[in-house]
Amino acid sequence: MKVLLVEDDPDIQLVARASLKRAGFNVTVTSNGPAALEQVRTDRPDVILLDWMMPEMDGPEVCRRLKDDPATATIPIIFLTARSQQSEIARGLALGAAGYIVKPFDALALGTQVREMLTR
Amino acid sequence: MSSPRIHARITTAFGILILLAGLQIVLDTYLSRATATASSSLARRTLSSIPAIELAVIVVLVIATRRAVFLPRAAVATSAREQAETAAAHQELLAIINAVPAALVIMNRDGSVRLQNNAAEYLLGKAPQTEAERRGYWQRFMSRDRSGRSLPVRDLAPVRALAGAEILGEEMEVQRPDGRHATILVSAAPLRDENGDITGVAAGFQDITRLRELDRMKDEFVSVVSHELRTPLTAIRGSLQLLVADERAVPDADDRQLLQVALKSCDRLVRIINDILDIAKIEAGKLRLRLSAVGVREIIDAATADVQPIAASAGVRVQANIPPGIPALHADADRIMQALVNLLSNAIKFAPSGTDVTIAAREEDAFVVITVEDRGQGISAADANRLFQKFQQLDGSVTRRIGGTGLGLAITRAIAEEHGGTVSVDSVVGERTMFQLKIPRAREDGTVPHVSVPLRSQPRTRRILIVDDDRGTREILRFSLEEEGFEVIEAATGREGVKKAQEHLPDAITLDLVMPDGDGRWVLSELQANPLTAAIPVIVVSGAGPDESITSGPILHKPFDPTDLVSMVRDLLGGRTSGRVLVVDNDEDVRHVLRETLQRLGCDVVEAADGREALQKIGSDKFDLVLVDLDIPYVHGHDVIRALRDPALKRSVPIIVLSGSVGEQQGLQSLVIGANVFLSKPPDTAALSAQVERLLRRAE
Repeated sequence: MKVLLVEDDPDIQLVARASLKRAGFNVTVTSNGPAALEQVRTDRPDVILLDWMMPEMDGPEVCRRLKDDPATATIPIIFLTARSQQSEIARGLALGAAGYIVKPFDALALGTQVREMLTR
Repeated sequence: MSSPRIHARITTAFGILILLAGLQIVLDTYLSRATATASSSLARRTLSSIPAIELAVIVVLVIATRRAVFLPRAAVATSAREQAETAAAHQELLAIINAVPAALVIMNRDGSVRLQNNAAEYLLGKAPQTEAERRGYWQRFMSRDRSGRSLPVRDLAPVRALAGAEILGEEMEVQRPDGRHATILVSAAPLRDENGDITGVAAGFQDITRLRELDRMKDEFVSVVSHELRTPLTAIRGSLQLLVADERAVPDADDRQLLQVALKSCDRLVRIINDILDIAKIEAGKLRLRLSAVGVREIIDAATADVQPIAASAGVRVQANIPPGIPALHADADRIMQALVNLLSNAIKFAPSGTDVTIAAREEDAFVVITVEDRGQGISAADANRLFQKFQQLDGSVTRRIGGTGLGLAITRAIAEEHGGTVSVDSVVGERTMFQLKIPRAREDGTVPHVSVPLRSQPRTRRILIVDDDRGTREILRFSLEEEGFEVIEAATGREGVKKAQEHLPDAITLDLVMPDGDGRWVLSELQANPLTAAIPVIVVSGAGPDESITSGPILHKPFDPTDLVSMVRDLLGGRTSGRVLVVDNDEDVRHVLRETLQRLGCDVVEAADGREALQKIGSDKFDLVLVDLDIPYVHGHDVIRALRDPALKRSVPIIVLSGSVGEQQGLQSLVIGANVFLSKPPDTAALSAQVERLLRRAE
């Protein structure tokens, strides 16, 4: 299964990539929103893990653009973010996200969590 | 009024202010010792945060009063010298009052200003002289409840003091003469004459706008810092987890143990950050509960399972003792879970290895009491007081051994209090410690009881004054209004009507024009003349032909239809809402009741009996509000909510979820996917109406 990780922090990229690889995912990483939008068009992932706070374009905006485009609207998006307030979670899900994982995530369970969210 | 009498009254006024200030010190001391840190109450917190300036005010006032106490006695003095002394003392007193940094105002019974100091003039403008100025002065005061709804004049602190209430440190807003808004803290007390009749009010105001601003900045700071900490922690924790899990990566057992230590510390840091965020939220008064019926056994089982790993590593067994038939809680499931986990982990920390920690539940009046008991070293009564404060851990050595954030019990207390419950501790040193968490229970059928809804979220009863000399008319009016849930006061003459209007400050008045002892015209002019009653809407009930000249307000012609009266009153009070509402429920009776309730509020109602019909109507019609049951045929309620929250839709329609048989978990889930409100079935009509009005108003 192909996952696109959109995350600007290189350390988190490393940990999340290792964690997802361990769970059998094929991981691609982009560091910002515009690059993610570009990447999705050339190599369609099965799921997108999306950070919230990023320079240039934040996660919600990336999510909105992907959902607005019929070509990418059906790709499940899961927020992976330090934003932990209830209102923020609600906002993320209202944008059409399939799931919401709060940082710090459980590196041993991340893959399982993502799979569970996709089957719901 | 003679000068000595003014002195006597000023003395009384400041006596009361000093009493208030003194009370405030006592309260402050008490609060800072016992509750301030965990208290979720905004007003209380603010009180405890500004003791220094209060103290300054008190000191000045004490000096002022010591000068003033003998002034009444000086009133009998006749000699020129003594009169000069009295005048000098008066001057001195005024100078002192003007030097006080807090705003002080002394008001007469009719709302005019008898005396105010410089700080009051700065805050509220010059003391009003004319009728128009007087009205403007009063309109500067704005009071709002927690939801931001403005309160009627009669709920303003100084006005309540006129009715005999003593107000201590209440928050209000005022519009300053330059147009800026200020947040103020109000204390007020009635002034009485020799017979005990109220003659006016002494009120003190403290501008706390700047404090509020600092408060907001602090909250923002905490939130940003916490988020910033999460990112590096994520990297550390994830790396450690992956390394510890991989035996090949770290073959040496000792090395793996070191990694375990690092991982455990990292987890503790995460808990501290979460707790700090919680405390910040609680202190900002932003802890919002999502109430539903919560099964006691289920929540205790879940909490017990959560602490199982730490219990096992401490060699402690957690025993649950829940009698059958215990009623459900009326609570926020996540927050109660958090409170129980806090109490259990606390007990496990202090329980000696090999002993039991017991969690039990029992019913007590309108509450369920959950107790958590350990056989640890116990705590002394003196220490028990400090226990619920932030960052209080009684024994440093234990802290080092076990680790904790020092915030858990403060959070637990705030959670209990926000539910309208309590948490307390009972301990025998050297033997045992027992924590008691007391939370309101739900009704037998699992629905939420009326009484346990927190008071402030209950809609206030509106009060209507009927002024009519005809007993029969009064009875019809009373009957129709009371049936609609209004509180009714009657007056049989114009004079009585004016008096009762001033006493009770009703939300609206119905007024007969032709009456003995003060006719309608006279009553209207009297009401207009008093700033306290001038703003009260009046419906003229007229038996004669049309006489529009007398009032710009609505006129009800006799004989009248009671429903016209009720809708007129609702229009005047702004209680009438309009909007197109979709009701989705497969039970016809339920739809009927909801339709009735909504139509009474002034809504247009469209019904759908199942999910498919609902989706069709959502597609073809526009709604201002949707009420949806979760358990409906063909399409689940959650999918109806998702359809309404489709990002492609430009408007976000407010959604109320009504749920009966399905569990509260699903109810919570519906909030997560975008519903605004979750109410258990059958909903309390008042609660439902309040929510409908709130959501429709917000949508405007």
